[in-house]
Amino acid sequence: MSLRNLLNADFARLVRSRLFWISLAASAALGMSIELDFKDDPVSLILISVLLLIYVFGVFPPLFCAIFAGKDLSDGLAKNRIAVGAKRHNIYISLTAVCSAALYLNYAVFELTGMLCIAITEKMAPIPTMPNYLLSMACVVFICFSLTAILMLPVAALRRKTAAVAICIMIMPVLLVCEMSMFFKLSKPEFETHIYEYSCDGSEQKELIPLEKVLEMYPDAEVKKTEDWIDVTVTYPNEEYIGGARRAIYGFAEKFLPFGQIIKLPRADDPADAKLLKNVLSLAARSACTAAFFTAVGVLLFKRKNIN
Amino acid sequence: MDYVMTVNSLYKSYGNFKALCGLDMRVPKGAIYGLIGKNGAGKTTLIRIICGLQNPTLGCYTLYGIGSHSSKIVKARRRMGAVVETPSIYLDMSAEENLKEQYRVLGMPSFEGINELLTLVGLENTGKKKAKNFSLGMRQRLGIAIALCGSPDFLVLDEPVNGLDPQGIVEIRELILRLNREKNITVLISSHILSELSKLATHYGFIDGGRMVKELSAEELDAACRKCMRIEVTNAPALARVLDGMGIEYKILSDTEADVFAKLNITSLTNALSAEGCELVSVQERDESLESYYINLVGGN
Repeated sequence: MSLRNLLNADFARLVRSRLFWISLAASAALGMSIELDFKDDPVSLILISVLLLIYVFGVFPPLFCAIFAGKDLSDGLAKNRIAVGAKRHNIYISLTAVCSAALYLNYAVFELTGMLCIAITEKMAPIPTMPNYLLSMACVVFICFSLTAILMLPVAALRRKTAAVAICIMIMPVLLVCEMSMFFKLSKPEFETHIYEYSCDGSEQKELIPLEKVLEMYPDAEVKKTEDWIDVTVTYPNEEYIGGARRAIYGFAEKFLPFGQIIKLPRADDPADAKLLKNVLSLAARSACTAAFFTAVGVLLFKRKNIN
Repeated sequence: MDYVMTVNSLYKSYGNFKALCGLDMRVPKGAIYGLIGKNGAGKTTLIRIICGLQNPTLGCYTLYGIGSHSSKIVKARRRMGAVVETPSIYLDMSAEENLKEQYRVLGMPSFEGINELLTLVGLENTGKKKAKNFSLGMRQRLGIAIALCGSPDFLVLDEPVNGLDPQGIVEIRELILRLNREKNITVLISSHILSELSKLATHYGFIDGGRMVKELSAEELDAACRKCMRIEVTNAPALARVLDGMGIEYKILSDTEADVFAKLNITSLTNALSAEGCELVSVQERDESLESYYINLVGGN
């Protein structure tokens, strides 16, 4: 039973899936509304964009993966395939591929309807930003694969589809929170700078610590005198900075987990140069590695599973 | 004799619980093999293992001579169809769509034959009705139809008549007989409804406590269950001479016992035995059904 036959069967089932078509319609509607309703309000636009990305990547994927793939892997409909000689790893890879495709199509519809609205409303010419969009969309293929590979793990391991749905839905906010947390922690600089301001004649007291004390505490401080003010710039280690092995681990996880990669997708205003291309290729390669690793784990789990 | 499937010392444990303990089994080609056992005997566990749904803890099996540890076992499975416990069907699809899905999995070049399959199992008039709206019997039949996609020559059915009404049971039975006689499909059918199996099976395997207690053909079972009178005497050779003189069929079991397969006039027998210097100790009528045979077989275990 070749992988091609299984892909053919799973894609035919995808086309029949009501959940898939409803989600596509929802993605299209959301993509249009974001451009039409918030075009004059950039702050709300960013907020809504983030929320909609959470829907596209955080709500639809766990539901779809758990329900669509769960019929075979959790509910046991894979029995029909295994009994006639289909290999378990082919069954698993086929379902992962189809779920990734569904996820990507949702994202693509969301993005393309948004772009179409921009073009129609002539808010701004989309052509200068087109290369960035295309690069972004090409990269998202791999990100979708890596996200699906993670979501397929509970589906492969658990016997009940409802439990798999619940765990998949819980994975997304946990993943998002962890990755956001790691991202913010990693963004803390190693050293912080503070400028103490003192009036030359002592008439104004802005700082609680006297100048002499500051100079004693920070002998390397940079002192700058202007007409009325003395600026003392001090640099000190940031207590919130994480270093060493922890930084390496966070950095590794943040680079390879999907939400960390979504944040790094090319933006419309990024210059379309070799550096951008290198960044995109790097993103794609890391996503592919994540997808491959978690898919391998999932295959192992499914191969060991006793199917009833 | 050709065997479609052989099982050699198969073990399966779930934690501390041993579902199969060194089970051996052989399914002859062209047979309808009835696997009989009470609930928890290991029938479904065995079927799951041979269908590849679970791995044995120890032991192996062969399908068409190919060992379970061989990579070629997947090719052997291509010749199989199975319905394990509940039929695996997509409830949001119609009967035809379910069959088409299985055809795609099998890589069949076209959907030719689907209508014939639906007619064979009696689902030709279901149209676009979703499987979630099917009765239990219809779902069972759809499960069998899915198992028949790809024209298998070995069909494995795990308790196919469970939950069916009497008419449904008759329909399934007739379908299985038709498949075996017309298409020469070997069938392995597990059940604890002995009366149904006795109308179907050509071979039997009695399983209890994860072990095969006995395997025998239908003819052997008939012989074992044949109506007879068990006579106990003091001198079996003398009894044999008397029975030969009467022209009655018998079978000597031991120095003092014999089974007689005819109606006897006890007075005549007693007189004839007396003349031979033999005493009649006891006469017992025996009439074993499959049920009582099974109970006698596993009852002491």
